[in-house]
Amino acid sequence: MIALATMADPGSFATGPTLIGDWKHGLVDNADLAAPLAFVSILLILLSLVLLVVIKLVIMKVHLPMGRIWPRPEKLFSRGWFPKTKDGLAVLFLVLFVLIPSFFIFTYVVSVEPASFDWGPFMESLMFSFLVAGVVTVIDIALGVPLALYIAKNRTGRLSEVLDVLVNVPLIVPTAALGYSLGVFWTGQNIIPTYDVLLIILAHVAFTYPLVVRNVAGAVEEVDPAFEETARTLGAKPVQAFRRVLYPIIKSSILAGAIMAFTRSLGETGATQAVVASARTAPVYIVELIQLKTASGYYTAGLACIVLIIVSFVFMLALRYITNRRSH
Amino acid sequence: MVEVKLVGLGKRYGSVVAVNNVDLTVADREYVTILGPSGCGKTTLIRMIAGIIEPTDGEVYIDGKDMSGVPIEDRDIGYVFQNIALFPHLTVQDNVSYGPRARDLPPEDQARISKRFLEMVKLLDKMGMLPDELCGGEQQKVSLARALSSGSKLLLLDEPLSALDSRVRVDLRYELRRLAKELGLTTIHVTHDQEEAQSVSDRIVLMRAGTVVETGTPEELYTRPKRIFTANFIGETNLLEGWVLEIKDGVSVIELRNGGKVKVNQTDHPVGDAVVISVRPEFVFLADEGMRATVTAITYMGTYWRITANTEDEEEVAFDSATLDENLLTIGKEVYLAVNPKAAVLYPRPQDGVQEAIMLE
Repeated sequence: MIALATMADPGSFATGPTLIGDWKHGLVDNADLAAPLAFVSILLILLSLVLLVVIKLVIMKVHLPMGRIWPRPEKLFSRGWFPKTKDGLAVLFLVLFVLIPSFFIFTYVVSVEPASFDWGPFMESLMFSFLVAGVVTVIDIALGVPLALYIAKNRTGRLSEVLDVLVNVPLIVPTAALGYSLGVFWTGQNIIPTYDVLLIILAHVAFTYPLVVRNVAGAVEEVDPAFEETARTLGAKPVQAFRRVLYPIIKSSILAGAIMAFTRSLGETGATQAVVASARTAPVYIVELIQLKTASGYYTAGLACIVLIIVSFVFMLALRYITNRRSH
Repeated sequence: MVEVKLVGLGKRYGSVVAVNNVDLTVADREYVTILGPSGCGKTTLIRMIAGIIEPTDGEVYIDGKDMSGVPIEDRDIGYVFQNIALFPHLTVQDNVSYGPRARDLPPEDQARISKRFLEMVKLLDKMGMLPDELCGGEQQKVSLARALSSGSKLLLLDEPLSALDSRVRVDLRYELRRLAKELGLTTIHVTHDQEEAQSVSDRIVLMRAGTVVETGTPEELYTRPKRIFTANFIGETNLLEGWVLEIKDGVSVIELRNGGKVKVNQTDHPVGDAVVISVRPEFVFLADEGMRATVTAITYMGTYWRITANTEDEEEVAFDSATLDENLLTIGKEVYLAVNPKAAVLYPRPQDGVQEAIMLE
């Protein structure tokens, strides 16, 4: 998402992930870019891993939040003008820096001259994105739920603890770097034939399935093991106990994880480009339109953004509805 | 016919021993309570019988069959959990018919069986409700009906009443025993509440630190406990240290550390031996001679007063009085106390001291 936002800026500013995207495009003409590309990817992956370890250590050793208390300033900050100002500023920030700019696209599209616009390619790319996100979500559930069950039920085991940390890696590593690494891996082997679609799906699975694992593992840990044990004492085989007791209880968490994975896949730009430069998912298409730097390009991109925003918003509402129901 | 036999049963977690070498036979239709303080291994023991935990030593036999390696669902047991664990997404009736359904009985039988057991716990009118809509006592009754609906003749109860309000707890105890006896069940009931154990059991198994301390009927364990730990854990008691001064006509005279003399109808400790006397508060009374003590507290208990007095060497003695004569009993007053020689029990003084012997772990 960061990559998408910075790339959409027509200027020449580049973050690590956008650089990977650009160079990957360049790779077609200029093979010399391969080495620096790999280097940037490795750098990003290593940096995120170091960050992950540092954060883990800090949380474990330094005890954040800190144990010390300051009675006087804390009292001052707990009532009167301070909390009100804090709440006000928080809301103002949300509106001014997040909501207005995000939805500004609507006014933009309305205000400029309508350019001739061909919905075809965008709809194609949107369909492609939905297809990828759908397949990815199904694979995520199939892979993520069993792993989540393993992690949640073997809490005392060393392996489960390690897995629990490792599962987070794809969430921490910048997706463009991850995507590039995955692309190199899958195209480098000759056992499984690689198609572009397959590569994109594999890349998306890698960074979305931790969302399912996180959600489901959290939910399973909340469920009292006595439920399944009771079912067993009543004569249910383990599979039946899962299906009729545990599954109905954690169903909404699986769904919530699936929706998060789906929207994440739908919005991903960097990794998609890093895996397959020519891929055309909806967000990639929008970036391409902007890079045209023509009036009709901007206009079409604007309309396309509105569609994506609406789709994401609908999913967000669905997620809210599901998670609210879960808490009752 | 269901008989449960435990042979050398044990469970170790690394170097920690949770249950150590337990031998126990529970007869058909017997109601046995496993009683003990928290952490004594009683829950581990019942979970091993159910197959939820695999033992590291020994075997469980149900109906003469070795249960080693037999999964929970094939042991044919009814199990009630402390935390009730009703399936939150199923109605009361669906909870109760879970067992028959898991065993793939025809739908008519599922309905008939669930209704029968809900009627037995008098909750037929709540059968369409979700567990959340019931109060704690009702929930536990549903959970009991669910356990019974499996048709098993072996009922395992893991602290079934601990999560309930005290009033409900007392009502449900009798309900449990009534149902178990009516249905002819073999019942193993785990609890840390000695009053509960005494009121429901045919036999109590008292555990401490993973081992069985003593087994007996509620009356035996209360009136003639074989160990100091039992005397102290079941009911209330005064433990007084002393030595045997003389034995005459079937009565031992014990000289207490606090200087007082007490007679006990028990003569198996020779003259000069160090002993501990256990005597319950209801068998200590005011007298003209005996132990001298100063009253330190008077507590109204409803049908009697519980009086606490300190002897000269700061040993605390509790005794009960049906009346409260303020000329005789006020705080700070000096009194003489005697014990009923028939109700006191003698033990050899433990090497590591009395405190060590009554420690819960």
